[in-house]
Amino acid sequence: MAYQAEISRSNPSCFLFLIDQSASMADPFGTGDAKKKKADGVADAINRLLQNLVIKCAKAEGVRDYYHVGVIGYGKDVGPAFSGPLAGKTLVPISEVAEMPARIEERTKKVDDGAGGLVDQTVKFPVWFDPVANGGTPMSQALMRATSVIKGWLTDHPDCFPPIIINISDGEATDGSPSALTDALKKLSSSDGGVLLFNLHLSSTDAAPIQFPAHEEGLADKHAKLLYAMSSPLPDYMRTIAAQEGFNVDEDARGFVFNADIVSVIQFLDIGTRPSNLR
Amino acid sequence: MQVHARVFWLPKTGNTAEEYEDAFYPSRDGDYGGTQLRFAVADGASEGMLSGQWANILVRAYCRAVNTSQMPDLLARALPSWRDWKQHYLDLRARQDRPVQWFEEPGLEKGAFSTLLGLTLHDGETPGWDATALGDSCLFQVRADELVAALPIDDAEAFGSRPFLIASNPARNNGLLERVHYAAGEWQPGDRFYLMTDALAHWFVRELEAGAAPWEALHAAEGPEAFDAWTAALKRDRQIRNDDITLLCLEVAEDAP
Repeated sequence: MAYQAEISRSNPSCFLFLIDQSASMADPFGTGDAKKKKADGVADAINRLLQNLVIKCAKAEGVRDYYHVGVIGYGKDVGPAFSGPLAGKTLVPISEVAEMPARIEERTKKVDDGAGGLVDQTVKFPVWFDPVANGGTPMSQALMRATSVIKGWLTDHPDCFPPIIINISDGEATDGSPSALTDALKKLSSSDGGVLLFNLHLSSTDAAPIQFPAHEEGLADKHAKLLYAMSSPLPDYMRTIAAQEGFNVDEDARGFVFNADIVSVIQFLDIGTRPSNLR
Repeated sequence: MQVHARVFWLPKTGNTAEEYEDAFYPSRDGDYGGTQLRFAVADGASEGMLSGQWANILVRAYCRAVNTSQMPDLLARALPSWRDWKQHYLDLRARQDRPVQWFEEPGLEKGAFSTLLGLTLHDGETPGWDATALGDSCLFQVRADELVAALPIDDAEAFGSRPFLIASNPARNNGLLERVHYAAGEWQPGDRFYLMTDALAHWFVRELEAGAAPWEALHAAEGPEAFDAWTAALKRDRQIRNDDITLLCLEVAEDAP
């Protein structure tokens, strides 16, 4: 059975994020908050993904290296996209990600006050990645780079839980159709199964958010449909956990999210007992 | 009533003994005598923060309680102990100039999580036992070569990695009391009780479903080295998953009054 490998410090897995940094990312995101650019949405999404992944690996004595993580940006250039001390690095252990954000901002979030209301709470928001919107959308080049990085990882970690690649984009590739390259990337595998490619589509269109659909019906445009078609089906293992986490996921659900939160994917990973009352 | 107790425990392969997050009580092998004897195991959840300590507090709260095995009474003992211990821990971190990091804060706020399985043996006109269970740590009672009781799970399919557990943060215990499993029964001299955390319990139940007598394998693996080798073989054959393992074996003495 695939996707059963233990994720541990002696057998770590790998996350690779591909981030669209093209000029079109300066356009507004969705229709809810016209002031927010897609590039800001991307930066928030990747920073929250990294933050949640670090927290998932945190224990009292430190962060355990269950994962190695990379961020590849594609826009004017294609290459490693961490800001701060990790700039220029391709794959780093998650403990280094934890210790080396570019900076830690303070943000406010609404939390339950325990009496049916909400109160503002200040929370730390580490930032590894700043908004960038410049140049074309060389998604195909980014996929080639990802294929090379993942090949190297799999040579060193042949029995790992399969690497997960999360591509965050508005879907308008400017260097040719990425379909064939996507197929090549997804054909890579460890002894535990094929590489997983998930997509987060940030769109300017006025359409309702969608998480983990099982068909392309209802997707807003050809870009959304392309990214959906590129996305791996959720393995049974993740689908089971997603259902336990309260997601409505069909048998054919794919790792695709439209104008919505993809951080939940982190909770679909099992690195030990996760109580159902830990939400 | 005299009970001979032996405990076997192992951290997850690849982890150190300090990273073991199960707990058990009493903490030593030996012969225990009295009219009411209490035993417990607990399994701290790996996704919680400081769960091993919370598991430790829960087994002690259970075993030091007197004349009650009710979850509200146990929580009333355990939660103040947790608050005191956590404050002590945070003070120590501050004194050591190791401030809490941003990635620890959410876990500390959400708190620790653990199973609890407690067993109390009573001596009297009719020797009896009662048990309190929450989560997937299990109790099996064996008489001669027959299984007498199995709780709270007796179906291998029911083991999952996302059980509802006891939270150290009371705000996350909504629905806890409805999920507690209480059970009671009788014992006879020579009866054996096995308390174990989920990795081994899952194997035990699968063996039962296959018509086997898994306690025979447990007996064959007595002794710390034999137990380590036996569980290593089970892991290698993928019969049990790599997890902390705890087994508390109790045998009621034959010459009990």
